[in-house]
Amino acid sequence: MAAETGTPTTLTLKSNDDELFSVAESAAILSVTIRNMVEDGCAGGVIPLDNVDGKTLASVITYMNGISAIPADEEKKKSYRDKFLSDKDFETLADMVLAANYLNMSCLMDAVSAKIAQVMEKKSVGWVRRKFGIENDYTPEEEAAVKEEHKWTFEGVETDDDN
Amino acid sequence: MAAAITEEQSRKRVKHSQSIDRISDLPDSVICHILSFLRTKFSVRTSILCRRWMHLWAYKSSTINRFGLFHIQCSDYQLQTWVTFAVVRNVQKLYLCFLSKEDVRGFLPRCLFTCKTLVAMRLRSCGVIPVRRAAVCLPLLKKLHLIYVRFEADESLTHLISGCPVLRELSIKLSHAMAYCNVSSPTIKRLMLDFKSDGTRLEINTPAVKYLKISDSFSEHIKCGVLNSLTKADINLINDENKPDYFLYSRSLLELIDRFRNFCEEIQGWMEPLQKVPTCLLSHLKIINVVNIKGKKHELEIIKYLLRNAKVLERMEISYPGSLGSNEENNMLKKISLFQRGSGACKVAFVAA
Repeated sequence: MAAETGTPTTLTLKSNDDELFSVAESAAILSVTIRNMVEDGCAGGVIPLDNVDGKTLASVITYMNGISAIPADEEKKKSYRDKFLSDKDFETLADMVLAANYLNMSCLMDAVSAKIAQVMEKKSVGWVRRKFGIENDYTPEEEAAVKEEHKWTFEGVETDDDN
Repeated sequence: MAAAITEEQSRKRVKHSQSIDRISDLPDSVICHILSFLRTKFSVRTSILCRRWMHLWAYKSSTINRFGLFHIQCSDYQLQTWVTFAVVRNVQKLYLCFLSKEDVRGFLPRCLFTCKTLVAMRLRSCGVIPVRRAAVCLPLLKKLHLIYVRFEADESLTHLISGCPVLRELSIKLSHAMAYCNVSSPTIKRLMLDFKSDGTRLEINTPAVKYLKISDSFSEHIKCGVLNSLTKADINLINDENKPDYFLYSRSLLELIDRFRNFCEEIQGWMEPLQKVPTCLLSHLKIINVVNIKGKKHELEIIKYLLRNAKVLERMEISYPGSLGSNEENNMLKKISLFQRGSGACKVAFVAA
């Protein structure tokens, strides 16, 4: 545990492509995974995060610093999250949801999941398959049967994707 | 062609497919979490994507805040499945709204009426409320709207309300016949009743009610308990002479109006009835006392109507407060004495109280 020296404790995080990042402990422990390591005393040296690449980790750290700088004001935190995610593309969002899941950061996990849901809602079945790397393994008959069973969910749906 | 692909492009492509691989490897729990943020309709739609996704939407997060089915076509069986699905996931707000007024649906599932987490429920044309002796326990339900739903029996409604210990708002629209409708609750603060059904005996016993709205044309008889907390009421009663017992109906209305006396400081208007003049006024009524008249427009209109239509009236006594200014007093007396009288034998007396 950090001694109360007055200076903030800094942790060093290592991504799976060997980039090193310094981050204040107070911000990093937004991740339950990291907090557990700190509490267990395993955070002395470098904390390896085997499931997060450098680009994503940099983003997550930006978020950690940004959100922990905001005092307990849920409205302001929400608008920070909205702004933080507003310019992220689908691939980045998908990487972030995986990272948030691995790091066990529920507020980021919820925000990114909601953002992905918001993007998905307006897209066609083909778009979602492409973006999620889903191979359609239904036979044409099976696909028709599923579509028939949930017919109402396909009524009145307009999609706005063209790529 | 292949040679034309630059190293940069090729690296991008590799990176892109790595990203796709990672996404297609998203664990089920993460996908389910994402789906929990989609509206119900869109999360069900993902079942078309592939076999793995076929049922993922159904495992979406363990609690549902708001669940709504609006104007969709589904069988009774599907509806039951849906409702059970929502109840099992601790739904807090449930809206089932269908278009058809013609209610051909079966019973709503019983589990709906023992849902420990429901806070608000709106049911519209979506089936029969099965409650008769079965358990009703909706300990958190505050808001209940029942729009064109049917009840297994008249007492189903009473029984349903009695199972909602913290109910604050109740709205009922009725389009089918219900012989006896009893709304009793010590906690209801807002009560809205809109009856378009024939021959209902309506009984209201809601002492805490602050806002009361009644739109009614077909009740046979309205009985109402104390309304001492009332601060606002919108009452729209359409007179219908085809009541089996018109006298009883009129009396029940007078009693209802008497309930408003506590809070009603001012009546803002009066409209001359469009229907034919009641028989009692035409051939029986001999003495009328009107009290505390201040010369307001609607008061004079009521007096005018009574004087014109009471064909066998012998005496009308009009008393007004002594505090009335002498100008106002003179004006009022002049106006009233000029009103046409349906009965030649009628005397009008003015009393300053």
